[in-house]
Amino acid sequence: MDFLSNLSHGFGIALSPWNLFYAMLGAVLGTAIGVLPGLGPPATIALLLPATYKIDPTGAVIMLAGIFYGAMYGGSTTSILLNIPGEAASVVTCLDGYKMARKGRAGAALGICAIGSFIAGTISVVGLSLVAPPLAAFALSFGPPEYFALVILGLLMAVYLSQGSVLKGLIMGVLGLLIGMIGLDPVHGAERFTFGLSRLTDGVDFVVVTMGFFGITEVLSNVAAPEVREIFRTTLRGLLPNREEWRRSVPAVARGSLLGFFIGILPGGGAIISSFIAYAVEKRLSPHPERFGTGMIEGVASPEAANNAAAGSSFIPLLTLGIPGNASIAMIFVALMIHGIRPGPLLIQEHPDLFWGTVASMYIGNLMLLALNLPLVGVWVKLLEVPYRYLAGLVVVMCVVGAYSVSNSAFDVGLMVFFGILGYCFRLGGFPAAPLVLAMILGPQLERSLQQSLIASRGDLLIFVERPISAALLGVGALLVLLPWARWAWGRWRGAGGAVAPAG
Amino acid sequence: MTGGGVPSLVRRGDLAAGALFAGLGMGVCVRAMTLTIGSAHDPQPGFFPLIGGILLVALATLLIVQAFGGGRGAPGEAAGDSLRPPAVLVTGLAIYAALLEWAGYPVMTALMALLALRVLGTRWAPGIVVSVALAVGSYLLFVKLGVPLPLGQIFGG
Repeated sequence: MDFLSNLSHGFGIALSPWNLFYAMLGAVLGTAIGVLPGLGPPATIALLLPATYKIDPTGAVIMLAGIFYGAMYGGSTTSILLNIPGEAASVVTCLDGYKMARKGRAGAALGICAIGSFIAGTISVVGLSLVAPPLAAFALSFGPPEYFALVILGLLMAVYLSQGSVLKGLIMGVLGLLIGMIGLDPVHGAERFTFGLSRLTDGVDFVVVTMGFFGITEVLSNVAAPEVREIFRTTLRGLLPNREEWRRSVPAVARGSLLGFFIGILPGGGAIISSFIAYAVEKRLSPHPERFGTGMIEGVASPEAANNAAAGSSFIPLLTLGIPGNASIAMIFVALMIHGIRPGPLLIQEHPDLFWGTVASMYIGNLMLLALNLPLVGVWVKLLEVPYRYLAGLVVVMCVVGAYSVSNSAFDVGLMVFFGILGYCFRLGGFPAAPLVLAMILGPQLERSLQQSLIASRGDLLIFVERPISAALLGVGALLVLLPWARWAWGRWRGAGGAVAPAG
Repeated sequence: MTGGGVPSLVRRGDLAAGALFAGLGMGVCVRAMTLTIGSAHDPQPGFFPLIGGILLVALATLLIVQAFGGGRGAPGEAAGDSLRPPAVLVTGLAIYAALLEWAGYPVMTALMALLALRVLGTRWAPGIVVSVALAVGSYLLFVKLGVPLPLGQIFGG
């Protein structure tokens, strides 16, 4: 079978000593930053981008991908033992995970997280290897109008799923587009918004912005509100759930995996949102919804499975359409671009070694992570005893070095500090950062496809609705934006008590 | 949701942000006009920025209207946070960026790390040891990895 021969070819690449090393490095780093609150996957991947310039693209992507899905494993440990999310996709795991720890079931909670994550991660990679090739083949027929619609939908999804005000998300998206316009325009090569600064001719580097937004901003907000960290001391008696817990977890893991997989595929979807939805679904399906928040294992198993499945499947839009769905994947998009590889429908054909090697490495990486997080969980708990202030110092230093190394200039360091402050202000004001970063990366593609479409149609905007695929994509996008307002208007019209305000 | 009264802190923040973004959007439009705009069937470099600028003004106006009209803003997460530590850190980082090339990476990094550790409540002695170790260690590591960090004029680099 074609699929099996491709996959075994991939394993041949992923099992080479260096690529195994990169997968291991990614898994270890990912687990570490997942466990440590205050440093998330996007910032870490951005920090490590300069280090990947010299290694081959397959090794680079294998390692960076490992960091991303590895963080999903690590995050739950902190949620369960500290009641603080290790990273954003493990926020809901705190609700029942920490309560389980208090009831003396910390071992079972950690165990089901690791096992559930492994099952979900594996299901997701199988899905990825089955779905990606036909989807890429389908996307080959896309012209500029379809791409324009796809990018718009991706950005609107990112806004809609960023769990805040839709309006504020839209503003961040437009701001990201504008920042992406700094430098030479992608069609004519004219200088835009450089304010006469020669440093800005090449545009603002993504790495600089991401490190400012996710590295410095995170440090600033942690410094402003120092967390009280108290590790829940318990003897981790056995990491295996008991029979009753198994019975309840297995269907939850299955549901979480499927849900996470499908949400991860959506442009703009990702690990964070899928964990929230999985939790909500479990609560709704449970015969005892009122007991959620008191240590229900379903509330731990399903979201943790979902975030892993979503982490895997969010590679699908990246590797088949060239559309990154979340900030971490966006950084991998940038890594590919740095190596001269354009993510898109042609990637699988043109770089089969990269695609199949990475996919195969994810099967292996999940196995490594299971070992890292189940028997070795005690090592990671030790890591949590390092006070945050040392980590903060390290993050600042890494961000500075990373920004400096982009083009060996202190100007980029200054720019990163600027974006760090900006990011902090945005956070205070409830403006989500992810839409900005995605819009910045997708901006040039959006502009190019818009121009090409308009030139082809001689300025007729109807080209976007006359072609069925682009019309459908734009329709879904419009629905997403209008839905909150429609719901709000409906609520007002019915005059129901405690009128529902729009999410915007 | 009561009309009138003193707007909440969040809502005032939204107002300020809306005004700021509207101003920014207008600035973008003005700058875009100085480029050639072209037309829908022949878009020129100013075309896309102009759309962006107009969108930003429109969305910012909506934000202002919503802030006035009782729409609820997303809750700011940092109601009771102290702003002093981040302010100190930000000032330090700005000085860092300004002096990096002149004073060199090791010196500035040690000072910056020390500042960060002090702000977060580390005592002097461990603070100095850790920051010097971090600065020298990371310098040697990154130079070995091929990232040329500036040594500064102090060391005659």
